[in-house]
Amino acid sequence: MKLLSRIEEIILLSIWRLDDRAYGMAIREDVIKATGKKWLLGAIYGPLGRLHKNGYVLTSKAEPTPERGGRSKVYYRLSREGIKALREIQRVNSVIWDGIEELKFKEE
Amino acid sequence: MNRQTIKPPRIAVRILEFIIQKDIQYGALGDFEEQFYWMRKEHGLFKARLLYWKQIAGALPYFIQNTIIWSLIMFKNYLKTIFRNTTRHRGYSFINLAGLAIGMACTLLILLWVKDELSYDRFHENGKNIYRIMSYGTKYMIEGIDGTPAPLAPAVKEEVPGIVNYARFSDIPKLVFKYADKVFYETRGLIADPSIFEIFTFPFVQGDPKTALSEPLDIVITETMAKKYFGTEDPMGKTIEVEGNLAAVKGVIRDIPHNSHIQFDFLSSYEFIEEVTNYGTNWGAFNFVTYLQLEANRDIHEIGKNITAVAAKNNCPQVKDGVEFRLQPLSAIHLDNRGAFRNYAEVGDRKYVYVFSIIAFFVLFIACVNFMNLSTARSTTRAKEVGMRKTVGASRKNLILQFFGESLFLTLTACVFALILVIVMLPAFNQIAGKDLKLDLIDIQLVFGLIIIVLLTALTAGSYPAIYLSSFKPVKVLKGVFKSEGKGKTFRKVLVVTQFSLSIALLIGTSVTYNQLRFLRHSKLGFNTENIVYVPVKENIGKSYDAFKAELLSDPNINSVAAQYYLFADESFRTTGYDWEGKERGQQVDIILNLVDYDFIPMMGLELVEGRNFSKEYATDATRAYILNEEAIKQMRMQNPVGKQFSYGQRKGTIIGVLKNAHFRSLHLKIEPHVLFFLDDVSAATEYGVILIKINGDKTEEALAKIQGVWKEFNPITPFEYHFLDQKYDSLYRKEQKIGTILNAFTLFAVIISCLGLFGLASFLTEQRTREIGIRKVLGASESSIVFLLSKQFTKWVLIANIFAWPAAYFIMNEWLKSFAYRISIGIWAFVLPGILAVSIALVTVSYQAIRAAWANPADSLRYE
Repeated sequence: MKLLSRIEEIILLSIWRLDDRAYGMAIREDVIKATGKKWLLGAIYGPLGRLHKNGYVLTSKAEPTPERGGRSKVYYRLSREGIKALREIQRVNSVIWDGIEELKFKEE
Repeated sequence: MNRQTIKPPRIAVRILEFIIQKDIQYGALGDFEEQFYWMRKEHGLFKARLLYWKQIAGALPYFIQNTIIWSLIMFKNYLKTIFRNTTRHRGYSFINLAGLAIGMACTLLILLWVKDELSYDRFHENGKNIYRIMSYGTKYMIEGIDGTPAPLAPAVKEEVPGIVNYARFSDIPKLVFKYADKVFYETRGLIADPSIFEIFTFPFVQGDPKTALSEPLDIVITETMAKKYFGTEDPMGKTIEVEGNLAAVKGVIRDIPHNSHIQFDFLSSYEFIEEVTNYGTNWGAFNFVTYLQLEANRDIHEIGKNITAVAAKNNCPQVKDGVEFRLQPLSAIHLDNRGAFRNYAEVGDRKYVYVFSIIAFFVLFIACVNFMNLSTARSTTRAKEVGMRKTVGASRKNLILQFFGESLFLTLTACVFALILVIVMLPAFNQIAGKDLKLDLIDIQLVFGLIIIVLLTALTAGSYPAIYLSSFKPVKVLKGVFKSEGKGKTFRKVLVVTQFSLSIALLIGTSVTYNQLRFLRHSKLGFNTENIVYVPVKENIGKSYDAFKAELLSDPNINSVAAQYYLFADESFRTTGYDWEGKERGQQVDIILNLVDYDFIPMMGLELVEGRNFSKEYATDATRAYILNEEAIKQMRMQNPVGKQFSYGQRKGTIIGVLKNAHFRSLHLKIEPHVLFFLDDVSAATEYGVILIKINGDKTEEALAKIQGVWKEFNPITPFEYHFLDQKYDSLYRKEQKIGTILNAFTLFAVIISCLGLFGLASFLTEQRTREIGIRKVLGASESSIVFLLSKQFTKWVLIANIFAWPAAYFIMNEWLKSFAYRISIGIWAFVLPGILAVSIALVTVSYQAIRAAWANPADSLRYE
């Protein structure tokens, strides 16, 4: 299994956290909250597209709304593979962080 | 404000649509728009728009990384694949590259040639409205000539509406020009109306176009001619002595571009005509070429009819006999070879433009076929690559693009070599074609043509491999039992057969052309042309002809001397103004008139079927005797002609002899009726007259030295000039010889490229059968039987190619031969020989591979089993 890039991981986690409210704008807010950096909305869709293409996220459409120029909101949720990928990351992370209790600069 | 009317910037939307992945685009654009409206409400329209634009900046890095970087990586991979394939199979790559390069070089050369042929007469500012008057007539079998009577143009301008201006031209005979110590013959002179400078664009370097030709003896010369006579002196107003007249230089124009059908070195005024020629300027003498400048968008058919009507009203005798005038656009003149007899005009031929374009296309196609053949034949080696790529996720589209890219890359490389080849071959080609072509890479048209050639070649060459190779099923291919399918084999056969059909057709064309040219050169004209030198009747020669002749004859190397008014091969004067005993009412025979002296007929070895030659014993011969040829007698429908009355105008006399038919003129033409008068006064023949001198063939040098000596003695001013009669007759077929040489070259290239391809194909297919051959040998097959086995299939293809090539070549060459009145009949050998040649070349090509395979030790080939 290929490991995801950092931003992909963050987006997947956001979708998981947002649950049934996960659409583009909300994901962006969440990502900003998590990273503390201002993400442009446009920058979200690159990684999101790749996640979708690789089958980690699924989409579903809601009713069209006038705020969106007559378009429907598109909600994202994790697919089975998406969950698996996150679990894998969790596992890898726990393995590589194992035994590291306190991070601090050592003076000689 | 209505929310619906305010939308996100449309261009930004388009860009985002392009860079955001298609499958999530819908949601993404919705989100962007939602954010846009939210921003507008909170922070105003400007900020909303700005933010929307900024989304592009956000989305772009990922897009670049994902798309462009990946495609660059793939591109590198493709390049590497091409490079590896090219270097691993050097032989095939060489064949492909060499074939394509030669093919493209040929196409490029022909493109240059065709472009030049089509560029004629496009530089005149009024070009679109300039027309030439052509005469058509059924009665005189005139298919369209450019001769018109002198008074036609002025009358027409008066009476026919729509004509802005006119200019008349006439060529003039060779004249001697003298300025200080510089004396030259000038052959490229024209007489014209001063209006020529208003109609045509011939820019002046010095002088005023309006007044330059206003006096009878004014002349306008080109820069080159000015330099020739005056060097650094100012030519304006200087006088040049022209055959005893003093002509003033009133203007210097830029040299005439080579792609002008009107060519001249000097131009003299229309009035000058009286001084140097005795051209008729009445309605019956078609001595002038007339150009008209019309008002824009006039109906040229109607104007043509009106011109004919004007001529009829003025009692033009030819028009009464059915001649009519039509207009021909300036741009069509160069490629219309009908008015070919004017010696100031360079004449092209539309037919050859087509033929050469087609041949160029053939040669290029043959090279493309090599590419297709070798790629498909080598499909087995590429099959695994295709399988791998497909397994890893390449779509068919990717693969097709990859293979097209490969052929484009190779074509571009070949194009570089082709350009080098063209630069190397251009001087030789120019010499053969008699052109001054240049490879000008700044020329937009040429670059455009080059790009089209490259793309077309890449598309043609790459099409079949791309579609065929990309169709492989990965499962089949990677299992390792892949064999090139039957479909590919059949296609290859078709390609090889096409290739060789074209090559054989070209070979047949070459052989027929060669034979026809040889026939022209060696067919019996019916008189001698060998060892005959002729010199013009110039200066004092006419006046003191008898002394001149006697002086020459005193030399033992000079056998005989005769005078003639027009050189048969050069000029002709035709008229219908004859009367004869038993002439039927309304009967008209167009007979070519010429004047010769006593020694002409015996010297030329002309045979008299009846009667006698002119003779000193009959005093009346000088003014009352006629000798006609058989054709004239036949057309006049006369029985027992000798002794019958015959007259030309007021000159009444009798027919004293009948000449056996002989080909006085080009073999393009049927034998025409001729009548010979006695040339009593040679000094009357100063325009076109020639003195023919028969010399001893073994002592040419000495005889020529003698002639030159005598010439100098009689003609202190005029430079000595001589020609050989047989060369003159050869030169009548110069155009065909040029065409023949070009055809030979292209045929050679086509055959070389075909053979290269066949060689590659043979070596590949033989390689594939190495094991089969090994087993055959182990089982006892002889070497010769293996060579036979391997050569058989290729020979078969080439034999089949003959079946297609023969009828096509027969049809085309038959058409070409129709342009000659006297021609060879295409015998079976014209087909069999090229056929055998093609088969044997193919056999030699293939047998090298076959013999090598047959001699190989089976132990080597079977070791890997």
